[in-house]
Amino acid sequence: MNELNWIIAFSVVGLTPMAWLLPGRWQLPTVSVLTAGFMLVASPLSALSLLLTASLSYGLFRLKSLTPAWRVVLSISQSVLVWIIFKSEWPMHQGWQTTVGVPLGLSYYTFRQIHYAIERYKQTLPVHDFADYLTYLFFLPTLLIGPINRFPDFYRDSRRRRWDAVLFSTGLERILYGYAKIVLIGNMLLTNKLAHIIYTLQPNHPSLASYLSLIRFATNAYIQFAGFSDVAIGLSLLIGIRVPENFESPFLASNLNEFWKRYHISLSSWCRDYVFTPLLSLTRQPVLATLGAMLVLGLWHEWSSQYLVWGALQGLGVLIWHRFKRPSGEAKTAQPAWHSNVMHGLGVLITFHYFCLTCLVIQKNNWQAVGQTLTQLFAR
Amino acid sequence: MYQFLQKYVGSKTAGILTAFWYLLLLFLIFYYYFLPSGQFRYADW
Repeated sequence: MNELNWIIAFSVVGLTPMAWLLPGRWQLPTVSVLTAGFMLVASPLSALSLLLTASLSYGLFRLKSLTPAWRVVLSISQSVLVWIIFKSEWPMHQGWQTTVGVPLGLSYYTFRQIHYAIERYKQTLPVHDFADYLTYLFFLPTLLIGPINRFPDFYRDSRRRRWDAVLFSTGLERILYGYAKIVLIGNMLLTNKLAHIIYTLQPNHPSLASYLSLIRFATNAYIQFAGFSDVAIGLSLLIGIRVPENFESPFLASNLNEFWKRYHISLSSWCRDYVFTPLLSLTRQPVLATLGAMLVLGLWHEWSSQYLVWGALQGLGVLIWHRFKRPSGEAKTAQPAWHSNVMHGLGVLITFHYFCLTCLVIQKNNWQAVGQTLTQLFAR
Repeated sequence: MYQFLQKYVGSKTAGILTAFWYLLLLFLIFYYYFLPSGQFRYADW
């Protein structure tokens, strides 16, 4: 069994009964303790790393000797430092990560901790204690496969949760749909069947094969990730916690700006709230703020030059759209319905292909392979 | 699925169709996941 199967099995068989059958105040803390136990068995490094960074990010705010600004700076710094150490390109090339390993769910909980530190600094969080914070972080359904849910929402749901049969059945349905996406569409159709077609096309139609390979990679990444998110949302619903949606048909977006409001919503909204808005407030430079947000969005996946370029390309796409979009105040000229439908369809096609093309830089292992594929793609 | 079908057919028919839909998905998932060769088991991306 792979990790996802273990998470599903443990959540359904272990966590869900505890979340409803134990006395009220023991329910969610028990879920957290079982999650910690699960992590200790699966990856002790992951459990220790999460416990250490969580303790520091909470404990630093208890230090009376520090000013609030220092508390938030140190809290964010320690989370980011651990994230960079384990996610950066450098140790990977040294073979360090292969021997020590990478903590599971590191990118997700690092961004949760940064969100917590900033909101705590802004004093927008509800009154809570360390146990509430640990319950938020040690929540297995979202810990390893996202989305990057927010503390106030989780805290509110943890206080209001009541047994609801409809919510429970919706959760089961989401798990089934998520698993169907991963196994049937992602693994069977895109990874196996389409890959076989691409392989047979390669000798005689290399351009078409490269094009299909490009489409396959981007759509497979989306389907797999959307499936994981469905499973996470479904498992959370079994425990009575509502987790925000992470995808809303992104490939139907007619521009890249809209695309990033529908693709990995929890990450893009995190980047908007904690990178774009502060940068815009500080610099009054929308171009800089957009690029900064998209670079962080890229680096969240992996601290490498390829994801840096990928993020920059996403930012560039958003900026190009902003440059040429119709100004919001400008009156629309009378156009027949078919015209706007065609323009919308064109926008959807261009956005989809732009995203797929940018994914080439993360699909290939090195820049030479990217160049080769581009040459093959546009060869006559 | 049930709520969607209920708009077009009665509650009982919607329940039966939903159950069949879930069973079909479960069958396909198990069929492709537990093939002896295991060729569809893991994502490769």
